[in-house]
Amino acid sequence: MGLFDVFKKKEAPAAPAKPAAVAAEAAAGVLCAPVSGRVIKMTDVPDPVFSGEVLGRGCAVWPEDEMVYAPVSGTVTVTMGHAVGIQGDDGVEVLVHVGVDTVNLQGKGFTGYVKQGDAVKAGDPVIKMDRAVIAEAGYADCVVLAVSNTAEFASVELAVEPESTVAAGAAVVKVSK
Amino acid sequence: MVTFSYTVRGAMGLHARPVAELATAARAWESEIWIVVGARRSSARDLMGLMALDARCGDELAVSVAGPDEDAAAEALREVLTF
Repeated sequence: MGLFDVFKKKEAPAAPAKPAAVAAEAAAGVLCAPVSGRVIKMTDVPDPVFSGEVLGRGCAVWPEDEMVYAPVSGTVTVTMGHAVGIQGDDGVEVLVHVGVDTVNLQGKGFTGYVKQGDAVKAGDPVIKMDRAVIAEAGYADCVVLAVSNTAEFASVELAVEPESTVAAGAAVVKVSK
Repeated sequence: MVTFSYTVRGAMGLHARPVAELATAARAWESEIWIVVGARRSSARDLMGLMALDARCGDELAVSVAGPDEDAAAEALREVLTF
């Protein structure tokens, strides 16, 4: 390589670096915390569609961090800016919904790292939220974890005490047939 | 079988809240209820399937209802399709 080849080289566009994954306590029938923070019961989410478990049983986490991770390993079926749906390898369908009414932000304040059809592992980063943008819009930023095919399971239960603080990737919900 | 179409009006399309309403309504009936958007199809009872349709404002939903209570079910669905 000649000296001047250095100057001929086109500069590669700076790709947004994908954040690192976290270690997840992944197992069949286990949903991991999508974000670090305080776990609450689904029935305590400040929105009737979630608290009424219309979108399924599960839990929510009041975040202490902005990075949201896949709760299960599987295939991405839905991406909506503020939400991601994953078809788990073990048959569980999980919706990770960041915040309440955040659909109205039309993606503002959210960075997505996955697209429909992607394979993900539990603990892989899926969305980064800007909590300041959500707060400024007046929305709650709790991250809801809902098993959308709850009807196919005998039980969907919390695996930790409500109000306990967990790290992203910790086992928080157990699902059994 | 009863079929009809509905054009999504809500600026946010078929997101979690309308999907929850639609699936809840669909589950009250015995009939099979399918929603088709372009090349994608989902049971109206399937929350994740409905969200994966990725229906946006202006998209047309083709609704088909087939079963013993199809007339009443179609009527009820027309009432919840307001988004």
